[in-house]
Amino acid sequence: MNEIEVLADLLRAALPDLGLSLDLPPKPGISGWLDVERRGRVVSVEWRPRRGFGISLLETSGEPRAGLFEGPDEILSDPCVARDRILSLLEADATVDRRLRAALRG
Amino acid sequence: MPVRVRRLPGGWRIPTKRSREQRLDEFFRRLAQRLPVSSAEDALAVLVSTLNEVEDELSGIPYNPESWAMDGRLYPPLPDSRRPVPGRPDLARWRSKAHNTYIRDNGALAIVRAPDGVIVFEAPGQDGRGVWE
Repeated sequence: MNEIEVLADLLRAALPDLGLSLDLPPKPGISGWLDVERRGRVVSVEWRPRRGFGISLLETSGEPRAGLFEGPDEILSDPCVARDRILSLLEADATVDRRLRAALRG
Repeated sequence: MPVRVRRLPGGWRIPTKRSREQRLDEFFRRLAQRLPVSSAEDALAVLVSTLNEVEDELSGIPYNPESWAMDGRLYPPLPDSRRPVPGRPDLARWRSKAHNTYIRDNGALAIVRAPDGVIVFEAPGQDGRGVWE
């Protein structure tokens, strides 16, 4: 089991009603992806072996190009820390969080 | 969209930095001009070279894919991160943060928002057929 599968299991154990969509890497050394959905909010996770988890809260109602070809909002290396951050993003006031991140990015 | 430049007394031309939205506008404008093509390899090459060209000219951020794209530059899909599409041997998919890019053997290309499938961009191959036709 690789780290993105470990993270999916951690999330499933924490909140069984999460929508999880796992996109495993087709070969070693390639990114794996995990989309986590709850109550209309979606967090995408890119896992890169030996690099960690790139975590982003996705825009699902605004401009369809938002986030196109951009990197993650933040990178975390520990699966348990990543789980906690994903859950907080899904629970938080996502609009405020997005505006804050957009302001920080300029 | 014309590139705005500043002229310095010595004659140097320095492109001004553009916002992500402006760079994406320019990317899609140039991409549309360079399509259609007749193969998946050509479609991916055009997408990659066009985005890198626009970012080189307008982002002011050097190319450094090792940064994991935390530098504010836009990065195209990596060729070796190609994923198969079940039931469609003629189609390949590249995932990025919020989108999937689909390229068909005939050179057709589509960029789709990942969570809900909203189409951001699509272009047929040289034979006139799109990704989904």
